[in-house]
Amino acid sequence: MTAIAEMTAIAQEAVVHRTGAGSASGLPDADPITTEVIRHGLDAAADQMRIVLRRTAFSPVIYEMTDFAAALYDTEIRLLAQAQALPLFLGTLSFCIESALEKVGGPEALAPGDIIFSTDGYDIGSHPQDATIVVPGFFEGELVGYAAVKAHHMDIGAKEIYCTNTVDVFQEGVIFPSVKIYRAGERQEDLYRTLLANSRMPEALDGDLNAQIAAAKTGLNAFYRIIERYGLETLRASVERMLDHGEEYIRGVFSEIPDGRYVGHGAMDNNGVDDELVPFELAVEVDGSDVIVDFSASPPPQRGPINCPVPTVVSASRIAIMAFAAGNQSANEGHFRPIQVRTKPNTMFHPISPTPIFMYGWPALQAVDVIHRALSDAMPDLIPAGNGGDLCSALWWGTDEAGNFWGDAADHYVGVGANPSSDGGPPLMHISCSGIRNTPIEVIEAKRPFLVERFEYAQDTGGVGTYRGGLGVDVYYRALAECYLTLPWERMRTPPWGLKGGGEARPNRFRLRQPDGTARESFKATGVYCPERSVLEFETAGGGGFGPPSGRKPEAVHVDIVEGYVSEEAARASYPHAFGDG
Amino acid sequence: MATRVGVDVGGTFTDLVFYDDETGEVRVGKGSTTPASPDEGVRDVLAEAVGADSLAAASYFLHGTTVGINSLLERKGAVVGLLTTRGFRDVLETRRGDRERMYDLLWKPDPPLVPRRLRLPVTERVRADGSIETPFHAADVAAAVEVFEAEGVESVAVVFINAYADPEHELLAVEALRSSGFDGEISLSHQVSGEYREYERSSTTVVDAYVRPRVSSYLRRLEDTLQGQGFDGEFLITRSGGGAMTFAEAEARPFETIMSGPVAGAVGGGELCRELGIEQAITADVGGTSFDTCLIVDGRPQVKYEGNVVGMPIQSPWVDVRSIGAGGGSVAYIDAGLLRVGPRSAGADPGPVCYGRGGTEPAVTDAAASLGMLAFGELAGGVALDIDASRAALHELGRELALDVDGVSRGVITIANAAMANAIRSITVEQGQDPRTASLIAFGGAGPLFGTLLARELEITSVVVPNYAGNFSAWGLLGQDVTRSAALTAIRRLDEAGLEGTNAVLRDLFASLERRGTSSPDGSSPDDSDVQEAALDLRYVGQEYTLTIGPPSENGAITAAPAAIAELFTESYDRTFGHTLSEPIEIAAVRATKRIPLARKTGQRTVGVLGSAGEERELEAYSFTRGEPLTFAVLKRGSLAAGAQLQGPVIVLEETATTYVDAGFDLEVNADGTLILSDAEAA
Repeated sequence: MTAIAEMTAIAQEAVVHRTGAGSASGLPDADPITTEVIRHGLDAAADQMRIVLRRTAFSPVIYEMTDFAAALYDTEIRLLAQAQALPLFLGTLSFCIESALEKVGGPEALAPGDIIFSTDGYDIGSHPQDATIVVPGFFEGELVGYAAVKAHHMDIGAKEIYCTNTVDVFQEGVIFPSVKIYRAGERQEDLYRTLLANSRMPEALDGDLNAQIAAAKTGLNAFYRIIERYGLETLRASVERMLDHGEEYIRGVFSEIPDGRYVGHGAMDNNGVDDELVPFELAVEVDGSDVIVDFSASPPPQRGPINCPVPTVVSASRIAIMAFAAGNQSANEGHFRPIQVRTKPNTMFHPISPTPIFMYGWPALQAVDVIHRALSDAMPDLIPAGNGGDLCSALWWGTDEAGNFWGDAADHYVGVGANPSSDGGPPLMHISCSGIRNTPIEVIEAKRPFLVERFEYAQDTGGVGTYRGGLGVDVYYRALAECYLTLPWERMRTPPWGLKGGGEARPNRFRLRQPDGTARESFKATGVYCPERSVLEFETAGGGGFGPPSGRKPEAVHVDIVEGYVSEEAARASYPHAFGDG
Repeated sequence: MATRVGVDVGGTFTDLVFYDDETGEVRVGKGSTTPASPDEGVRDVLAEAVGADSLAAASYFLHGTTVGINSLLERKGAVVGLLTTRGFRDVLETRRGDRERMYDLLWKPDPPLVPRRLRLPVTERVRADGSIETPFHAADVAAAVEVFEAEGVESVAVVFINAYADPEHELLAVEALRSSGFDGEISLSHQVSGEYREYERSSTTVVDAYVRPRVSSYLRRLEDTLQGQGFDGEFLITRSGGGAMTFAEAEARPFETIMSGPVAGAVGGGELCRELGIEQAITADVGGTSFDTCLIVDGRPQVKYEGNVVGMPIQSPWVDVRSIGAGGGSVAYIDAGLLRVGPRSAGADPGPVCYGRGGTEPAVTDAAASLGMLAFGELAGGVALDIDASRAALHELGRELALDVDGVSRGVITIANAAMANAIRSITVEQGQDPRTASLIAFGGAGPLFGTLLARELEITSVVVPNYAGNFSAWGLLGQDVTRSAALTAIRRLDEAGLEGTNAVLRDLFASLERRGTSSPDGSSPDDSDVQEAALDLRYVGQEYTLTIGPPSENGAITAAPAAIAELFTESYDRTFGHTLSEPIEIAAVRATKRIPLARKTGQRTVGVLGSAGEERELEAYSFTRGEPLTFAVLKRGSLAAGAQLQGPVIVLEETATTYVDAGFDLEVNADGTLILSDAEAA
């Protein structure tokens, strides 16, 4: 797809979404009861996909970190239901299905039992490791929809298992451009062997891909049951009504936001290759109940892999808005109809192949936070101060005593910004990855050559304010054997921001302490050599404060000292009024 | 000798079943739960339904209660102090970083049960292999005790990193606590759970310390009350993982009672499956506020090894009962033109509109009453449902949707039914089971109302409505064995050497179970009837998730060869996940369970207690299978003799439940009085 065609496709999506509602389908109006029953059924089908994928996956990155997306779509490629997994992937699979269909020759070229497999970053909207399968669903010979599952694979043949410094997509993994890995139920063995031969961890890849397929089949079977029970026509009518309902709900929230253009600024620490800050700007335009997230002022495409392909730009915009607008509703295409996204081809938020995109998720995370920052004036009760802005992953590998290669990942939570009515709570994973959990240190120590020296709150790391930002944590790993570390971290240079007079928090930090005690800080890096007895010192960011510190209740200041969240020295400096010196 | 009484304290009702083993007589009772001190509700229902003479003749009092969980829900527990490994003070508070509501930007967890100022570090460190990295410093404990005393700490939890691999430092902490003068309760993480994952073990240990005083004083009060009423038998309480424990043991391990409420019904379901020879079943327990469901395979409810209560993980065996907010009291409402049902419940007070206690929002029970599914709306004790009030409230609701009363009532039932069916699909999919081949066991006040509806939705062909369906959870208490279990994370390859090491671990685990109490609660059961069961958590090397397999064992030692165990694992993996892998297999954890059977019930029962015969009546009610109102025969359950065969549409009334048998289903009364409803039109 050319850039212009891609651009048009996005514009068309928005247009289609506005006009494709309700009775425009020509189908009779569905009754509200059947619609609710079918909505339950579709959500349950997506949930069963999640259950099967998690239970059958081989790699912790899928079953522990839920780094995947699983969803059902109708033949018009409208989201019917998506499992609760990685929020950043919200709605992203529609792009995967569209590109898969385009590559294989459209819906006419599909047969029952086909499975399309893609690792092409510009089709799936993410790095090749997020390999996606698209499975067409046929009911009594008729194409009725699609199940799609994207899941993070540990290795799909990139230059390292995780890279922060690629300069084109060819370094980022083997590209399978939406190929049929199954034809009419038959696995294409030549292709499959080629795939496994390009992975450093073929068993994991094999197991995880099987899990993806099992999940997709489970979802389709549940979908067929609904069709069997209610008939295609009723299903379609109910889907129209269900999507209209989703749209109506979101429009209700948006119409509360005052009209206007809200501009937000953020920055990437560097592009992974050149060591310079990369500032960016975006805007949110609100007009009645329509919202446009405008990325057209983005910086030029970057030499390093922090470029974000359009599908993920769109899903980041969706999750940013769902995070304050939809509570805990399960999302469908209707929820997205009022949201449009504007991008400019050949920019950081609309790169063109072969621009590197391995770190595509990081600009997306930053964009989510900056969208919120931009809206903080318009929605003063709903938007918290800045957070740690990352999931602080450690991707490490080495060889064990028997000489076998091992590779693993561990994420670390970050401080939470104070919100407009209370302090930031305990650290959490970023909202765009909110299903992810940290790996217990007892599990890491039982499995890998590390001894954890501390895993604890870091005092004084939350931003000051009427409401204090949440604290970050310090996690120190001593390497018991040499290993290598890739550190794809952001928000190490620009600290989490305060709002309405609240203070900034500690940014994310990493230091490698050598066995001789000398230490060196580092920004994002690939393949850092960590000798035996070195200490990997991870310090995650705090959250920003909300409101001026002079407004903080003295009792709250003293509680913080008693609990040890804030030192007395820092409290006296920031909140003199609480000590009668104000 | 084995006459027994079971009392299950639920959120709304306190249910009782009394079983006289000599005469086979069964008595049931139902009273209101008295949340402030539940023992009073127990006392009252005992006085009313059993009486002093019969109570004095009973050997066992078996109990299920929500006291532990309520203590957590209401945050009314002990002041707890926590000793941690230095450098890991905040594990309890910083959790795992996940959000309960994924898309909610402002969500934050509840404050931890122990504030930071009472979480104090001790210099010490054990490595994952059990070796000592840093020796234990007793002086830190002495310093902590000073803080604890100043703050009025009643209960101390000790959680050291890797204590599962070597408990020595936690044991040293006990000595140090005592020698520093602390004389309150102590919970040690390695005794609460032998499994790794520091946050989950911390949470479990702290919960144990937190609920301990309240559970203890409740159990003691209850003991005093019952002894005052003339009972001098054995006191037993249900564990979250199924099986019973003595009150004395429950006081020592109170965290094991947290989920004792909903478990009893699942356990009773398992017993019923064994009696009737049902291989695979799903329980459908519909009460006032929730729908609880559990998968039963080969007569055993599925057990998992970690649960979660109000956001706090509990690392212990846990009968896998899933709950959703869909019960008789679930409220129906309109959300932007769509009809929705629950999870909010009208509860018992005010309850559904038809209770006439001031409720104004129509609930599931109102919809059922309005459709005639509850027949004439006569409840126990001469209480009558106000069906007209239900219909008036539903009329209001229907107006907004342009539906008449019957239309909106059908909608409420259909939506509630769909939600329950989806919950059942989820638990079966997780276990790789097909619900269509299972029997549905319907009980609880409203379960038998939904039995045939759920069966049609799930293509299940057989519905079982047990005796005392409305009190079935209390019945389930009666058939339990006394069990004790322990587990340890001990990672080894599944080979000869690994199995040998594992058997050594098992020996230690069974020895530790032995130390937890005399093997028999009342000394009446000889030791040789005890059963020692071993299970292994297995996985392919590199995986984290495990499957629990029970290989053949004798006297607590595994007798199967590694290859045979591997085959059991591979079969189970294939069934659950639909494929297998070629990786080597490893043992991740070892589980030991000791089962001490109580003297058996003879099984004889008087069926006549199920309700008087009464005359046969009929009324018009809505048939979901036919899509139109039909004339339903209305019978009292007591009038149905064993072997009787009927055809739907029929409504069967008993004191605490109503069974709705839709057209297209046959009803047969089993020899033991159980109702079996079969889909006569199944393909």
